Amino acid sequence: MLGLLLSWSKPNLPAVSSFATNVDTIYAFIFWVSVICFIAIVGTMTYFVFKYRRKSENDKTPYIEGHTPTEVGISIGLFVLVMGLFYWGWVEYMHSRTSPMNPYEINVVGQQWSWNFQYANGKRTQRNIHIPVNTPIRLIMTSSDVLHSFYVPALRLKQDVVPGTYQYLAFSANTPGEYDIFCAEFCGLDHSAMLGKLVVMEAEEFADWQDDMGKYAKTAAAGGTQASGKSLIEQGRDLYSSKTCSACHSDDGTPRVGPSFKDLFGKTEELTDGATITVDETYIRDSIVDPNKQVVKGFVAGTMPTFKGQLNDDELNALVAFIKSLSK
Amino acid sequence: MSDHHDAHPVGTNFYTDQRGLKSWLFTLDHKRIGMMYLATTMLFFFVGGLMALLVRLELMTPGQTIVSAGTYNKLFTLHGAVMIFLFIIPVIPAALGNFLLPIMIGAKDVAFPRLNLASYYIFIGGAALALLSIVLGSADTGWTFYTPYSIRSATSVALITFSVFIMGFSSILTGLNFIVTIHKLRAPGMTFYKMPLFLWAIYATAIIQVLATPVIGITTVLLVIERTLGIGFFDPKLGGDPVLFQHFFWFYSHPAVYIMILPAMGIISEVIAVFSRKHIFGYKAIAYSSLAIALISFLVWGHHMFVSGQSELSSTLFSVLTMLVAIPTAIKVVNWTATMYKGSIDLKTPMLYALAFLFLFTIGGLTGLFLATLAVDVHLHDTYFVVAHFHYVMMGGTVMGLLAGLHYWWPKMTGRMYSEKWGCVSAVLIFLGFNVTFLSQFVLGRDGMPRRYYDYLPQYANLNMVSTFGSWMIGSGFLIMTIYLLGSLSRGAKAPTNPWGGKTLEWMTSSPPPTGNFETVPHVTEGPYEYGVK
Repeated sequence: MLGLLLSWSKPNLPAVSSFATNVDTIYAFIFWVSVICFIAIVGTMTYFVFKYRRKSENDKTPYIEGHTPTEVGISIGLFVLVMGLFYWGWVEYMHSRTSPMNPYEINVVGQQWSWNFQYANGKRTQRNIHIPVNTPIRLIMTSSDVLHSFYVPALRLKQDVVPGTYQYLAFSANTPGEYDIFCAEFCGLDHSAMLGKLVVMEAEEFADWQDDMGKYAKTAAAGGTQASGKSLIEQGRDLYSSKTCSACHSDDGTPRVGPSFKDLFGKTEELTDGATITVDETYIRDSIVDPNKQVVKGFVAGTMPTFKGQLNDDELNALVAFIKSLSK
Repeated sequence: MSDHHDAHPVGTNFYTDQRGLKSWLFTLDHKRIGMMYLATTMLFFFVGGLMALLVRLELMTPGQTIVSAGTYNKLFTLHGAVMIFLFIIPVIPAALGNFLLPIMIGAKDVAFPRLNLASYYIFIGGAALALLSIVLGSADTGWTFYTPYSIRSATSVALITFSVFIMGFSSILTGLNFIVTIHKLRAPGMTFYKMPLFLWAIYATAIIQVLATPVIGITTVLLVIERTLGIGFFDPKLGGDPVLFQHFFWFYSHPAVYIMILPAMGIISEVIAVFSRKHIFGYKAIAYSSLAIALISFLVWGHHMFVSGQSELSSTLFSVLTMLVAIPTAIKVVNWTATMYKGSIDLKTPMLYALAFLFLFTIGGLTGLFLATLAVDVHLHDTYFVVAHFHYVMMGGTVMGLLAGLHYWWPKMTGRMYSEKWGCVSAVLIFLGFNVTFLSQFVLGRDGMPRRYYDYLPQYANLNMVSTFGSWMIGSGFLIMTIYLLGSLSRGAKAPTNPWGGKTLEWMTSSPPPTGNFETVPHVTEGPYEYGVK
């Protein structure tokens, strides 16, 4: 019995990040609290059923209306317990939501029914994402059609991807290996086939893999991966010229019709409606596809045409990466 | 209100007073309307149950077992939609509530009998539309209809969501009717604090029905407009916000969870007190905890959205508020258990279901703690852990409560006793089968198996097989129940007025009751649970 309970007390999964280990600890704690509460309730109930089983129709029972101190005591005790539980879960959650310094960033695009990954050097993969071990990773994620959810059980992490917005996941994996990726938000016919692997590699091996070097030299054409030859930032710079962004937005601080991209990313701006925003990936993306939604004070709404439909998610990601690279 | 009960000869009842199909279709009698609701909702329970068995059969082995992925997606969608909107929301308030509420407060009928009949036909109209939509292509979005998939799905989503809109009115009007009835039609001496706890639960439920249901109505209308006219509310392609839909949807659908569970909790309060021959422990604590749950239920919808992309601040607040639900819920569970202390416990079928409720609902409630805890929910959200959790609450809670109530009031409603032996056999079978089916799903979810999966990886195969076996046990239990309950209608012994020794008013009138419920207006002097030696 105890063996069975022990086997139920934490996930039977590899835990390859500190967040995963901590989630397991909280899980185990709640599990044992639950076991105690369950035994207290159901054990008492079972005891009463045997002890006070009806013996005759004339059984005498006492008249008990209740006991207010018990009710109050239980309420206060439970309040303390659940607030403690909240706090523990909240601390870990907020920790997982905080991006590390200088993370290695990978763009993720979900689509019916595969995961697509874009790396800094321009390399792309489908289904499988490769990352270096013990390195802070930040995923910049979106969807090109409906909701999906990027779920890696080994990391205990999950995040819905929402078309039209960027969502983020930050983590660092501590053990090389291959771990399952699932789509966890129902997305239509082949939802359950939208699978992949998180491939955690030693740093040197990852470098070889990313640059198609060493033992990965020949796999570029074969294994579903493709190298474009240009880094994400270079692709973004090409789009910056070819889509004529440069006509209105300088990359060196020179004032033109629109704000310069130099040192734009991460800046706090006041909008025409008085609100303030911090320029992040989502803001840049919004400003390309829906330029009049949030206009910075001093600029005129209606000046910039929308680029909605003219840039796909990969191109938007490249432009965002380029604009980010102009801020240091 | 029907005011001619004294014109009937002694010995007739609401079944025999009038005969013929027309007397049923145009009846204003709350008991007949209640029985029509019971027959209708149980029929949908049967349909939803068959779909559940098919879903489990498909999942018995990895890959295709009996149907294609497209069919599977429709099956689990319809299982959810039918069970939620056509069965579990209406069944206890509209069927048992309609039959019992006026009798339990000593009234002849509800406050608005014509409105009551109208509610039934609105429900039937909505249900007919839902069935029509199944014929015309069905839906494959999940019962939650998340956008933008539900905007783009080629299935007949507009029609099925419109049927939800229609049925919402039935729910609102029933709730309104019950609130007015409880306020205005209580018999002399029946103060609020002398009301059976079942009525407190129905009252709290009615408040939620009236306040929350309009929101799902508006949401489904927006969805239908977006699908038919292409106006972008929720689809980013049209300039909409898909997460907004989730807020709207759960603003109703979370309180709706309490529409489902509160009436069942009310039944448990009645059954445990009667079958323990004890005054309910903590009457006011149970009554107020129903109201507290109703209030908090409006403030926790965002706990369905911890990984949806809503802000960290929102998730934080919703996590705190969700934790608070544990307190009134635990108070109830403790009070029910304490009621049995030094009682004279009779393990008849209704009590078996009440004990099953306590066992299963405790697990359902405790596993809610895992999901309310932010960091843990990030892992468990949208996995089978959630599926198991809500089945423990909805089936282990609401359905067990319903079955306790159905067996408890069956003699009153039909005038017949069912076979106690077969009642016991089926209760044990359903209880064991339920645990086999759904305990395994906690483990599957804990180990990362996402929900709504047609196919799954090999590491999940064994427990899926176990879960499917369990579903057959549940199915057999219900098959036995159907046989002995329907059989009791013709072969069951005639039910006495008060077979269980109940103290509430429905046990003071004959089984089944006469059309006006009571020969003379009852005067209430005692509370509903006056058992024991003072």
